[in-house]
Amino acid sequence: MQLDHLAIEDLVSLQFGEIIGHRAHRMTQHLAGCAVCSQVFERLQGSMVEGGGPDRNAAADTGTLLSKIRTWDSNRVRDGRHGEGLKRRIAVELAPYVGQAGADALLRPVQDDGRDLLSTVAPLLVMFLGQRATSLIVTRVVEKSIVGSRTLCES
Amino acid sequence: MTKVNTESVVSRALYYVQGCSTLILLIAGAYLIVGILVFAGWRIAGRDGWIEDFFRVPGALLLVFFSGVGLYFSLRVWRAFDTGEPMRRAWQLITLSAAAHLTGTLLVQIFGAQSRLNPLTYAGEVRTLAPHWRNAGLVIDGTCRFAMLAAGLLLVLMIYRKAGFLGRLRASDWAILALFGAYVVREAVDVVVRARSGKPFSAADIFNLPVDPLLWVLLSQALRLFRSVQQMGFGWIGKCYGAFAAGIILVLLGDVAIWATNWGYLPWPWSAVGWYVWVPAAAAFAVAPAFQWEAMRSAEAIRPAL
Repeated sequence: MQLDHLAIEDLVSLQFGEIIGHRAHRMTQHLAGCAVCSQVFERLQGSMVEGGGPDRNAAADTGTLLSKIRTWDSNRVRDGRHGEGLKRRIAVELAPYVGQAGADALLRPVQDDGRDLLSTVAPLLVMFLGQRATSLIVTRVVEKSIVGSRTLCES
Repeated sequence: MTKVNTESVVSRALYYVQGCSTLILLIAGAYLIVGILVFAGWRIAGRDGWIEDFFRVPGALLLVFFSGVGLYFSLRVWRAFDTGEPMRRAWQLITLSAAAHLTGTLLVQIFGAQSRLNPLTYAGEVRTLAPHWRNAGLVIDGTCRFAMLAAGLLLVLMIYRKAGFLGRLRASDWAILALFGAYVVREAVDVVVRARSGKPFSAADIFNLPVDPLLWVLLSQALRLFRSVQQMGFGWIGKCYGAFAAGIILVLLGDVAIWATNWGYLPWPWSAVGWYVWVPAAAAFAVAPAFQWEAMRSAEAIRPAL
């Protein structure tokens, strides 16, 4: 029985050959014994295959997204997409709505990698802007400041 | 790239057309500039008709326009919140308050006024009803409107508290509250003296008695909102509630100006300066929901192209 599943980032790295040696061996062992992770990994491998198959567009989209995640992951430290740098970027996105001081206060409890952004910021934004507007703003913040997919799309 | 630029232009156009906060402020500013020129012309030429016409026609139309704009945006904001969201109830009350403001303004500035804008002046005997329309308008635009606004802003302040952004009143705020509190007490004393002297009260007078205490409540809320906005920063949300605070303070100044004029503390022609307060106050109540609507609309406008 597998209690801890592999992170999607690790699976992407494994697929791209960025994880090697003992760690790769352990992950492969885990995949052999974990139906959930192996299913995710198979889908991941499937999405990397170009052309053919009935779901070609979906696979291509997934491949693009995974590529973005990988690029983000490797570049985020260099680009300031972590820690205080990341928070500053997010604050710039939120400031037009809640003001600079409000944005800073909202982001203070958020972890450096932004993983708890949604659970920390969203409830407070919902109070003032409502669910509909907040979901769009948070999506935008994640897109632009965390994943940076817009830049990648345009390039 | 062209597509992105086009989308950006469309988003900006949507933002400006559907928000209109800049336009509202520009109109109010233009009105004040023209008002100063008319005031100067009136004092130099000595023709009372100029200043009277300025307030009776463009002034009245602008008050109706701003109260209509305030109602429109309040309605949009109210409906943009989902059922069960805490701000929905607050904006429901603010919308009702805006509806009372529009109704009262129409009755006072159009149907209850002696002006060319009043259709009743062309309707023979019906024109005698004008004072009744005016009195009804004063009650609706006074007690009814302020009670609902105070209830709505109370809910807003509770949300500020829950979010951890509720500001604290400073010593100067307490001093302002004490000063206006003394004014309310003085007004109450005047009412008691009038009652003891046997002068009759009309129904409108009685219904309007809570206006000044309500304005004191609104002032305390406005100051609390202003301090909260200072703490949070002037984003769209801050501008929205800051504008409400500004509108309340302007209404209060207008109210004090009326009192000072009635009791001879503000002699003619300087008492006319008090008339200029009402349009900026109406503009503040119009621009407040416009700011909130712009915040919500801009979220729509930046919807990511997935």
